[in-house]
Amino acid sequence: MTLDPNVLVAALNAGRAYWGDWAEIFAERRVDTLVVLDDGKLDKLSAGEEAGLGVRVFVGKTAAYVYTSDFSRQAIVEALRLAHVAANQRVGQTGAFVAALDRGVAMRPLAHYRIMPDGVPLADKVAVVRAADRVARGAGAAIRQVTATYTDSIQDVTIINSLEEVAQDRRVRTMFNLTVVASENDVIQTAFESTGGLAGFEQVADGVSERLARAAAERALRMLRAQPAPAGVMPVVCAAVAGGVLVHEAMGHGMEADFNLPSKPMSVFAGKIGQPVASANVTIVDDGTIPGLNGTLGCDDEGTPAQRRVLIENGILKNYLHDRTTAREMGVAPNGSGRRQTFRHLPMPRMSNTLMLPSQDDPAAIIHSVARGLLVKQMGGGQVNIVSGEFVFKVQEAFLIENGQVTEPVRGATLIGNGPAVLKIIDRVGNDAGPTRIGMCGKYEQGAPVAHGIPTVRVPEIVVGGIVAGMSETMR
Amino acid sequence: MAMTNLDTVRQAIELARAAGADEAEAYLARSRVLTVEVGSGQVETIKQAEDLGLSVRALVDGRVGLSYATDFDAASLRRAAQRAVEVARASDRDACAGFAEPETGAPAADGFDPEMDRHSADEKIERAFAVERAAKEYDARIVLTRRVSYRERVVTEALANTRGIAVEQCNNLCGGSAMVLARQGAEQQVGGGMDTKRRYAEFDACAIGRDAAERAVTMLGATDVATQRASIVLEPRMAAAFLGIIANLVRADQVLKGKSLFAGKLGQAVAGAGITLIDDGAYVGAPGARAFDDEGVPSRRTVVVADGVLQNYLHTTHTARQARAASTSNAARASFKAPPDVAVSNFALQAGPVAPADLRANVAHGLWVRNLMNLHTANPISGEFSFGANGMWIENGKLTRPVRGVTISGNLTDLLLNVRGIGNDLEWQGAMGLSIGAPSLLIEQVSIAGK
Repeated sequence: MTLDPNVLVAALNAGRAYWGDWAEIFAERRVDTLVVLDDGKLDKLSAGEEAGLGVRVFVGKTAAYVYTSDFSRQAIVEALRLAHVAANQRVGQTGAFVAALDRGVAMRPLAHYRIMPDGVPLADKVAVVRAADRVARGAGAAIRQVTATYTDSIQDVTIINSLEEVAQDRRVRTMFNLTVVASENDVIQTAFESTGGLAGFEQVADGVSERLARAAAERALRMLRAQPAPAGVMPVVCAAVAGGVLVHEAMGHGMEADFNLPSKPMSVFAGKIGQPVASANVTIVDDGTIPGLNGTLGCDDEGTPAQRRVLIENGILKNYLHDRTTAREMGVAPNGSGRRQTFRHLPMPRMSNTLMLPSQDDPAAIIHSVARGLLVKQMGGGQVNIVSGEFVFKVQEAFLIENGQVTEPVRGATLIGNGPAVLKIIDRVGNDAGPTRIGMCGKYEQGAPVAHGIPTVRVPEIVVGGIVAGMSETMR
Repeated sequence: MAMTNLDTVRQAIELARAAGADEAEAYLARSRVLTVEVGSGQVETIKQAEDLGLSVRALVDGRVGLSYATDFDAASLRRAAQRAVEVARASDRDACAGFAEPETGAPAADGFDPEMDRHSADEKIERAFAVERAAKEYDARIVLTRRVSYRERVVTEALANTRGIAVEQCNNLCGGSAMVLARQGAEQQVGGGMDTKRRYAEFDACAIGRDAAERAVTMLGATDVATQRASIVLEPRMAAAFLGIIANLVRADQVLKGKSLFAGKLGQAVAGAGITLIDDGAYVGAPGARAFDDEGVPSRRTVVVADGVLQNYLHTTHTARQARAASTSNAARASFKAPPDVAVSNFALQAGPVAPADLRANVAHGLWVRNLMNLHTANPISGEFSFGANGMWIENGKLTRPVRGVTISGNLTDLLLNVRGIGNDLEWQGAMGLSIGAPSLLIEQVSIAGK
């Protein structure tokens, strides 16, 4: 197998008869290491290599995709032929339907890593999870269980197409996470911490895993004393340290261009470029160029260089996230959002690092402004319905705010709201940029590593899902 | 001469032994996929491929390591075998590590449907168009469809280990899906339809389209409700979603690590009377059927909960050794790259006697739940859950109006014990090697948060 663009270009040329209106080869090789420590012992340990390529042929609006792990020229030409036959099966409108790149854009240097993980002995990777386990268990007698996971991957991609565009990228990613379980007097609580980025072993070395283990263990212990979260409508302050799941779910997904096509307007943000969609203090960017972050890329999986896209500027909708197909339909340049999980997948518009930018409010004053509400310190997973705009996300750690003061910890809260509605009512945005948190974003069965972050923000009213006292009635 | 799949896995275990493994196991998966997506009467994408992967597990001095390859030439297999041995040497010694023993006289479930390959790609594209047409014809307010698909998958798996197992099986599945958007004024709602079948003849394209459309149209005009404690009726699809979370509680690995609510509860009541949960990979009527699991252990039926009482946990070879039990044939690999883990095969909550409408007729105030969001955030250790929900409000036994923007919250322990009615409408949801069946369920005492 080879990722040499010259060899791939020769194969693409050999299959010239099958290009249709546009043809592309995405070739990938990745080497992954996985170390999982669970219940005090190494539970899963694996390392290996996989490689394959996907061939995409457009005939009019129809895209056909064929993938294989056979890198021979014969196999690539056969893949092109199959794709061409498939794409011709039901042809609607003809004419090229994929945007070309602006040739003026230069690729940036890609080396965001210092310590290549493939040169690090497996024993050192194992030491990362063992250290975390030791620290977490040492935090208190109530710590019952620790699961710590280390992964690294080196993904090399070459993307070539019939417009003679060639792009190569190397994504070196290192990630660590752990879940800590604490239990006392029949109450069980879990806490989670993670770090990861387009970075080498330095991402987790030098005590990083121990620091995260301590933070998770202390949170799990704190949450043992937390009361169930209240239920109902109330003001919510999201602290800058909470991470930007709110921005990712409530706003980001709705700005992916495949949901906003004039021919298929599904998102609540469709057709609203240039219009106010948020309060004036809200500015959101999706930036795939920030060195080292989890969503950062040299180029996307269609060969478009990563970019910084302003999605909302002072409340005005500015841009969608485009791959080549959506860019072509909307008559704009692709902006580096075409991502795919592996060579087995077709690209689609995805987020990278999604950030709400700081504004001018004092974070402490934001908290003081709340008579009774919730302060969110860490968010968990979320989901959005892009058609209705409804989103929901889990809160990992929260406190009550009473008369402007942070008081008791509460557990089990979930926030549910409507993205466009929440954007419009956000009334305080802090002057503090929080640290980004990482996530694995899922869309149509494909995962993509992302990051997100926010300053301190206040949503004056939102539904908090929690436990309701009382009895339900059933007729018998 | 071309190597068969069994030749390849046998060669891989020999290479692992040559690299220093005391024992070895190799697993190979070869899959063929076809996915067609259509929109507005045109084919949007066609995906077809043959995918292959092989993984080797090596046991060295009581330690296990795994590596894999996507190329099956001798050099690639040797490299994977050597890497597996290297990885094993870095791992912890585990007295219970090891591979499955061969069993004799076990019945083989053969769910392969040769019919699927006898139909042309053109006909299958037509099935995808049929999904879209059915959705659009359902109601004038259906304005858009997205991700309307026909999909099929054929997977051949071969497994050999140094204990003497050498087996091969082939399974296939087909299905379809649709996302449908209904619009009324400025409001838009989405509905999803999806189905997976083992038999091509059972695949009903129109039913998927109509189901998605009905869900979208019904939600138009939805509002929230007051925060309260009330009953819910889960439709089968949503009951299956909950059962998917419960499936984690009966995994022996989670139980052994103290990470399940069900740890230490064998013989105790963990669910309401009438609830029986059975895992049966040999049942060919459901999508998860297989002849053997991902360690080569023949499929079998395991009663997990009988009439509310916990009877058994689900085991792999490894957890069975830890617990001094027998494997229940529940080893599953998330992909060829992943080591076997405990997972359900065909896992079902057995149907009850009540028609779903009669379940709702018993509810004074409550929610008929037809969609849940954020299922992945349930906590199987503490049992706490809080999901976004929508559906229809029930007032005095009658469906009154659509509801959205609420959460339902509670604890899985209470939820299972508060089941007060079981529907007679069991449906299977699922994918290859893993499917879940459930009927409608009436559950009391659930927290609903709204306005």
